[in-house]
Amino acid sequence: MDDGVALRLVAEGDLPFLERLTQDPDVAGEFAWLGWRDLSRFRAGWADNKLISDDSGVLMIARGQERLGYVSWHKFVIPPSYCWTMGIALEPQARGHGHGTQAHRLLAQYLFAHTTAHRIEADTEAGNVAEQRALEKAGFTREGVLRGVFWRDGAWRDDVVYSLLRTDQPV
Amino acid sequence: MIPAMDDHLTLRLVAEDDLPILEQLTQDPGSTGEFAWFGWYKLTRFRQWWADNRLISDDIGVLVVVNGEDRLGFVTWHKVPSTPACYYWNIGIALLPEARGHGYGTQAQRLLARYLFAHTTVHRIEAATEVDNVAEQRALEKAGFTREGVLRGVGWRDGAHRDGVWYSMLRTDQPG
Repeated sequence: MDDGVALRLVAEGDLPFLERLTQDPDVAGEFAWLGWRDLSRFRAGWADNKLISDDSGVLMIARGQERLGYVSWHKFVIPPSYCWTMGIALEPQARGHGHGTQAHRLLAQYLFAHTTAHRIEADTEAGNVAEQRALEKAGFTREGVLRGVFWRDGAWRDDVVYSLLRTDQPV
Repeated sequence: MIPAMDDHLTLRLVAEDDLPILEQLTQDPGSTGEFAWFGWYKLTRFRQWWADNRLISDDIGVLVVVNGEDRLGFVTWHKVPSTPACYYWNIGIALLPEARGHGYGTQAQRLLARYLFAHTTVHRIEAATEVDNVAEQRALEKAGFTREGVLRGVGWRDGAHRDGVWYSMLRTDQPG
């Protein structure tokens, strides 16, 4: 699929976009609004390492000059091995066009190319059907529902776990 | 070790003379059993942690499982942050070879869940085991844990990626 969607490093001018996507309840959307916390984390992280370290990372999802959202990942260590857990946030106008599917696919390709990881994991709230559809279209396999994993908007929420293995057939 | 009819399992703090057993259960392939032998690493970690905080901190803990005077093994827990606002516990267990197969694992994990629900505000306690470790899956189910799914290739043991079965007990579950 060549829809012009690409991942790139976060530039300083992208920081207000990242903050709006995580700190404005109307933009974050129902499933990603967890309250305000650590408002300066993107700026502090960007000043420190441009939001890329050995254990975690953030990349912009862009199409030409247009910002669509961001993907993120962090290392989940189960000694003596590890896997990556990835996440995504899209602009409201960028949702529902398959950009999420493509961005997941691009990030998985990036991580499998540049690290020895065998497993890339993604999880989303049980009610977030759009993200589950995007993960399935990107080739991820649904593995189970972890009950009461996190707290959002006054209630404990169940979490659906998906994974993509290096040995899975590409879709 | 003779299984008694009136088993009275308890969990207690790790004493200095328990450390060799903890080391045996993690660093002696003959004692760890197939599913808990991950190679030798950080051989002195238990002694260092014990000197540091007696193996209990806000994020991690180890207790001895005893039946009267008999030491049967250990239970462990560590904090898994799920968002910046909340966390849950992931628990584990290691029993000496002669203590396996008597239902002690079931009782010990039930005691640990009760301890953690009593002293922390956590909503979820999680346990994971390798997909072929049927004994531990049976113990968790008897202790009242619910099977949630199989995470593929999540662990590495003895030259291969291994699938892990995930279980949980919620504060709101009926007692098992």
